[in-house]
Amino acid sequence: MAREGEAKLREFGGDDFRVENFRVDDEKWVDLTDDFDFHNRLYFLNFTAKIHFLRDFQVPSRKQIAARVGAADWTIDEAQRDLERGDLFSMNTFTSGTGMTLRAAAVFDDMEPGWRFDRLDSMRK
Amino acid sequence: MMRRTPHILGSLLFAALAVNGMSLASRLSLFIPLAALCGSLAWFAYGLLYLGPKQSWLYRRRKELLLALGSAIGALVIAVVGSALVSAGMSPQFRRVHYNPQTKQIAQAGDPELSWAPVGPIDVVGQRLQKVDPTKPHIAFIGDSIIYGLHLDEKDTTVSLLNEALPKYQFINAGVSGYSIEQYWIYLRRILPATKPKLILVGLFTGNDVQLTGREYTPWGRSKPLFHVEDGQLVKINRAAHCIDAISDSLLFTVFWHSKETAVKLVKLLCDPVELPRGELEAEISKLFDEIEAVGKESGARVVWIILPLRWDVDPTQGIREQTNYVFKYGLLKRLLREGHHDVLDFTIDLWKSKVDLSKVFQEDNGHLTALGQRMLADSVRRYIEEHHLLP
Repeated sequence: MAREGEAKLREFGGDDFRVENFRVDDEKWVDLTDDFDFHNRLYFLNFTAKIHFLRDFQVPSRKQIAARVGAADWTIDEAQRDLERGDLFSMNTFTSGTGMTLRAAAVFDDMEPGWRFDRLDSMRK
Repeated sequence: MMRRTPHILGSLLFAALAVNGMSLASRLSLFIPLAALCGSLAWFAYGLLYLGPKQSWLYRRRKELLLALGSAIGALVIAVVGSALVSAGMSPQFRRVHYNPQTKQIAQAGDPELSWAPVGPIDVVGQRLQKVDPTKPHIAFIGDSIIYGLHLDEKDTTVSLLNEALPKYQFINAGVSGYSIEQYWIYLRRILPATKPKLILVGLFTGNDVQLTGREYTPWGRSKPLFHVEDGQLVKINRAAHCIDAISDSLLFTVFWHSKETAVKLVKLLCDPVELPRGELEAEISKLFDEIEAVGKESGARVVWIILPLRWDVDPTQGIREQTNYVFKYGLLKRLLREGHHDVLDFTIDLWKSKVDLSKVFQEDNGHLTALGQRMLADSVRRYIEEHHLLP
């Protein structure tokens, strides 16, 4: 799962940032139950990664994301990608050529048996 | 007095421990404490009646008192078992959900294949008991209570509005409250001989379609058909349907239905219904999507899947992150539809783009649509049909 988590982070980086280093820190199990008693069993693989920005990278705020909705070139995938970026980086601007240490989590669904990667998210302690 | 005090105190303590042990987590943790409770009662009776002074009234009348106690317990057991075996009809929870205050009816009856289904002749379809017009081409709109239009007059439903806007066709409201994806498939096949649709619209509700599919029990006390994928085919795997229906509809359970959570927990405990693990659930849903498409193809009808969101799915910038990311099933349904290359109308996007006040679109339960919501859905469907040239 560590390999898959790292691969997903690199994929998420795309042309925006490069992953230079990836280290698994620890893990946490989370069980979320809804009103229908449906159990969502999740595995948070907390990691620390050194990343290097390949271009200027801005993470919009939720207000900015909402303001884009309905624009001619807007898609829901754009909104969801920006929300996921916000979960990882918070609202921020990063300059091309700079680096940072990212502490986050690769989240996996328990498929009973087996695992499936769901998303990247902030660390869970 | 001194001789029996330890027995009386001991039996009371044992009874308290027994009651505390009833966690309803498993059958064992229900029946062992029940047996322990009976034991503590017997111990109490022994201490009270047999260990007192021989001149006391209790000791002299011990046999009659024991007989009276035994008879009372026996009568209680007979009453409980008897009321569990006597059917009181559909559970109060089911009647609450399916009762139509406008018609003052429940247009559903027990059904061996679907568990419950609208009643009527073959050319009367859906919970609205809509008569099929053989002179018009049909569009079948399958779904649950969202499509049915729970708490709304028929004229305010999406289907009715589409019939008004496109009178050349007959949109058929095949929505049935409480159905999930297995039942969409089975009910679609049932109505096809009468409807022969040109287009099939399937409303997928993100609020509970995933959660209810993959289980053989429902929160309103009925069983439902359940399948899993075996060698690429859907195979029915119900094992507790009779138990679920018998227990839920029994006279005894009319008491428990005052608390839906308690009643459902007891049904699960006593009947041990099947619930698919996550991987099998997703495989079942994907296969059901394919089977519904196959049914459509066989009838010459295109199938369009309509994502019907919860209020909290519409604008994730306003939602609680953990629920939006991991609890709500909007993302899962979208992914499964995308992986299966199905045609999708995502009503969530239309609602978000409209920037409408969502409290006016959704009823208080944040799932069912108001009359305004149904109108917006009708507009979205009509636009989609026109943009994709789905009807001649």
